[in-house]
Amino acid sequence: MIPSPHRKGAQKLTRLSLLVAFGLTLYTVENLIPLPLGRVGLANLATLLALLTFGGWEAFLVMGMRIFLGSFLFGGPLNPASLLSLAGGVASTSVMTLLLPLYPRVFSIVGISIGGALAHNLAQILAAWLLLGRAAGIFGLLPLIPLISLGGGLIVGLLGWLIISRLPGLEWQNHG
Amino acid sequence: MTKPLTIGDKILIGLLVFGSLSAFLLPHRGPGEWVLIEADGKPLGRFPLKGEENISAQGPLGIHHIRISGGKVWVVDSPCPHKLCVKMGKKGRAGEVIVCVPNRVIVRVEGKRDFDSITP
Repeated sequence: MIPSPHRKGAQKLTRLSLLVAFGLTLYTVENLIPLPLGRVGLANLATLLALLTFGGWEAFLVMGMRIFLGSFLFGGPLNPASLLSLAGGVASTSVMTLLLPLYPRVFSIVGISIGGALAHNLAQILAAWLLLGRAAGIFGLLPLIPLISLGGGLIVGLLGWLIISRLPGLEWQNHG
Repeated sequence: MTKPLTIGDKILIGLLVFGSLSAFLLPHRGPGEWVLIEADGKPLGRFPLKGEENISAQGPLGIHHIRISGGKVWVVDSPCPHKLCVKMGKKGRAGEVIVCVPNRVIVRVEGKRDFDSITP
């Protein structure tokens, strides 16, 4: 019989690995769907679940692993597309982690998700601007940001809410 | 279990709805006149939006196929991994842009007046 602290560690490792795999699946599926306004950010659902069930550090771990592994599916880790994903991932996970203390009083999962989506999209525009040698034309995409962030954040947030509320055992750590 | 929408959520959603509406309603975007294409940091040219044109733009990953037809411009095919530029669809209003970061291609639609920044 494995001693209990080790079992808990193994359980955490398993759950985090599953979340990485879940995120990768969503990331791949989303890239296969032809959506006119870019992407919904479905993979952020895995980061969001990691954040709510474990915490900020684990959310960064799940996001980082997902983007690192996902980069091999789409162009490699140093491809500009992967750098854009990383910029968006770091920004959204940072903002969602900062919003976490306000959960569930001020912001629900939906609010945290929308905040993350907004940070993700703004960071990607900024990263694209830097990667393209500061071409001002990029900022023509700015008017799309509120709508894309709202749409993507709502979809991911509501899915997260459905999952968390149907699997209350998931909320076993900080926010029981 | 928490409720789906708290007060903070509603404020955030309200702000973004307002932002979306103002972005699309207030600065009225007139019809575009010109298509400006930039590839790998260099201006490739200015093409009339009213015309018919197939343009090949060379980026670091390969050739971008861009088409202008019926007052719209769009990316037909691209060598980039996510094909977001293809998914962005057809653009025809002044100020609209299609950006492909991996292949360093920017397509901008401009209106009558703004002959600015990246004139070749």
